[in-house]
Amino acid sequence: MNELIAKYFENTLSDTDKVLFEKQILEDDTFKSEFEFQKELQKSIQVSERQKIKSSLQQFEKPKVIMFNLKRLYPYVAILVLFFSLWIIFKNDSNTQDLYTEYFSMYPNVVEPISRSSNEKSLKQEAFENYELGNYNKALFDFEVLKTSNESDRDIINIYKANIYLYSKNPEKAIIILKENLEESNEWMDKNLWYLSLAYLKLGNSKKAKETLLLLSKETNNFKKQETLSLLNSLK
Amino acid sequence: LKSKLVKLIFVKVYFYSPKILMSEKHIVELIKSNHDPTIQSVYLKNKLPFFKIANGYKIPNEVALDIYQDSIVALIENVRKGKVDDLKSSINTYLLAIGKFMIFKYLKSKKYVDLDSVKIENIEGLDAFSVENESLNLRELMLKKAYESLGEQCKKILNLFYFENKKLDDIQAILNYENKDVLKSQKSRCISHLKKIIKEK
Repeated sequence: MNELIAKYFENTLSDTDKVLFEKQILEDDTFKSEFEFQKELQKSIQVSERQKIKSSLQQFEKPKVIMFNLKRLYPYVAILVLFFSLWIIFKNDSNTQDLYTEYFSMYPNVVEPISRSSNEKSLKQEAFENYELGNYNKALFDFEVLKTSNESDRDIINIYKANIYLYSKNPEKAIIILKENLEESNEWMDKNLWYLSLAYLKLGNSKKAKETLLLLSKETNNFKKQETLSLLNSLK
Repeated sequence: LKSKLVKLIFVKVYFYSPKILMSEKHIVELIKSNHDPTIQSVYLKNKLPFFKIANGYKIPNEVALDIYQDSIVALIENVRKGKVDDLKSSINTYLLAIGKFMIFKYLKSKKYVDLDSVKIENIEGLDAFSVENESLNLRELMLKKAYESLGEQCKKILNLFYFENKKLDDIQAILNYENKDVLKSQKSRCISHLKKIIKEK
């Protein structure tokens, strides 16, 4: 019985099957009601499945919710972070460099003013003359020699040496020398601190520059009182 | 993985470059496997052409949208039934033919037009096509509810047999049944379960 009905739905009834099928419908009530039941079932399933498809289509009409797919955003976030940090670095960098050029000037020769009269020049005179005339390589060499022979002038000579290093864009060496000075004595404190802060500035280390300037601002003896405050202000 | 990749490439090509015609057979296969992006692209692609036709008959937009969605449902149904396997025209042409038929059916129901007087391509199985619960009698409505409450396996078998009109041999292959008898008895168990639910009500 069910075989025939199944064949009907499969659409595989042969001609003889069809005759048999018609006969059963007319003569067998159970067959007829079973067939009608399955017909009804088919209709209900069709409507059910169609509704299922239709409701899935209706999703296409809904306004698109922008999904924040975090994983998709990662590369963009990475690029953004990179640019932002580069911007910070360059901004900071250009800022400190600008400030450095604005504030840095070589410490003038106040130790041995150039005298035209004297024919016989001491090494010290020669060194400072070279310094004043801008022959920094020679001056540096002279200072080096002077330092070993003249312990008492060591601190001030170091300051001039640091100046030359700063001028020749070697702030690291300047820092070493100036730090050494600060550890050894309290003399020339304001010059030491001032040029140390500028050396940090040149390196782009505005934090250390600020720290040094803060120390300097507490000094009563400060040859760059005004500049210390205005530079501190600019670094904030 | 390979077939997945091929699928993906085809869909991308179809979706992003309408001028490159993806083989219609592939679209049919993708719709058959219920591939959502393909269905969506067909849906979006033909919406405007359909609305132009519907607007020509002054059909309100909400009604037109409803008819359009019914047309897509009919398309998917016919694809799943394998009626579209030897399609001569493109999917889009076929869909718009269904759409036109549906529009005329609607106009006829509203007595705006005599369908018989208009020459329109008849599409098999669409005369009695309905998505609405209203087309069902009370017992059918109960059957529909009962069907929806069945377990997944029963639903699969009954869907394949009564909706997609698959032969038992095919269903046996699709659902990996060892032999046809196991499938047959499973199917009759599902049906008697349905009958039981109906009787209880």
